Amino acid sequence: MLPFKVAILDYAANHEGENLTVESIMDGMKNTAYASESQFHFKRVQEYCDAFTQCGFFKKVNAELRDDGNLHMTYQITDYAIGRANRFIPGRQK
Amino acid sequence: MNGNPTNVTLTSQEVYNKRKIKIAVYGMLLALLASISNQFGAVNSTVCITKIFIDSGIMTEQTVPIVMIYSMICVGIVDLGASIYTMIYCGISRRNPIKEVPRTAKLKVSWFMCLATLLAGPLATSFALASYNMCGLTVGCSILALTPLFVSIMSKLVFKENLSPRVYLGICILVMGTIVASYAPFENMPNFYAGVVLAVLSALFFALEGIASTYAADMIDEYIGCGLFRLFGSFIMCMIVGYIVGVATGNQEFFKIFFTGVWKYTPWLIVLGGLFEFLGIVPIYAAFVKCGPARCQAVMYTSPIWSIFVGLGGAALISTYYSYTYTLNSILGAIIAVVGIVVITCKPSELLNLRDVEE
Repeated sequence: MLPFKVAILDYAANHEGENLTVESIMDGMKNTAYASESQFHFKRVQEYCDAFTQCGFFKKVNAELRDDGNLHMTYQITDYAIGRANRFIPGRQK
Repeated sequence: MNGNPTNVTLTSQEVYNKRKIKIAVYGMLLALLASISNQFGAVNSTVCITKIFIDSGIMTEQTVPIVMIYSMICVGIVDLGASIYTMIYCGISRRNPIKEVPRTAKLKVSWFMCLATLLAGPLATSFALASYNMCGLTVGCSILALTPLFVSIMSKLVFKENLSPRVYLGICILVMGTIVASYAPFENMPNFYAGVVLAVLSALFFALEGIASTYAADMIDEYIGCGLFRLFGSFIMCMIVGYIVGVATGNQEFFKIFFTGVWKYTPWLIVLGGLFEFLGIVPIYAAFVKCGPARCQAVMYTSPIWSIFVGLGGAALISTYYSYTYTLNSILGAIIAVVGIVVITCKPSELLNLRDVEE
């Protein structure tokens, strides 16, 4: 099994070109073994998505400020991240 | 790959920008915490080394192998303590270290962090210590002060980190501050040029540490990776290197006496030193990801400022085992370092796009 952060990157790489949100990532991974782990929560996934945005792995597609004051982000994985994922995530094309 | 057209209202864009800047500023604050904590760690290690020498009655010259052996033991033990703190932190912050550590260890990219450990722990540290003996403190420290400059060049090449000419200027001012702070009268050194080579290698290895660990931390959780590779890995490597140096130079008896002495006379080294190391290393790894390696290293090199306050405090509290005197140069160096850090950080909007990749 991959570390959780890498599993999120792998999930995003498998959905190349698609719009992703923290909720959609969590929803897409809800049937995996990670879902039963204590680290599988909104804040952690948000933290990893923020980190991926900072390092250029995710690009912002949309940022929507909701009524509750929270910023709802929509991301897409970048080619830069796909290259790194293909190189280092086992089972992906080299 | 063509992304969808962006559809962002001005308010949302502002909030988004604010969030990105906030993360980068938080990264630089973490680097600042690390820089200060490292000074406390240095005082603590100096006190421990002095106490072990006095209490165990070791009468030996401070030759290069002896300095390397006790430095490796000290670095190794504080890194062991720090790795324990890191894993406790990972447990408390629900990072699931029991499952994540083996998963991370199996991934090839994680081993870049192991490479970072090898470069920064045993190699760069011991080269730096040896260079101080061979080419003098001023030349050694001045060359080592070039580390943030090396990092910024490497980071530009590897990560396409966005650095404006002003940031480069700020880094150069910081480098000058460190050189001024570490200035001491030149001495006649027989192995001067060999010392210069070791100091250059040391600065390059410290710079490569930042690059290799950021490369890994882009993908893996930086806290798990740092605790496993940078800290626990460093403990193993330092002990091996220290012992090899001991055996190779006929000082294995000193290795044993000093190693036993740590647990006998200064058992707080692992507890307190480990805590300072935990606060001095883990935030750096978190900061590499949040604000980029160049800015992180630049903030780290504000150490001339903090060393004065921590040094004076340490000397006032534990005068038996620690002494500190500041000079006009150290004050001047600290002031120059403040100017450098202001030049680097004065334009927060630059923190929006840390890397020159598609946005």
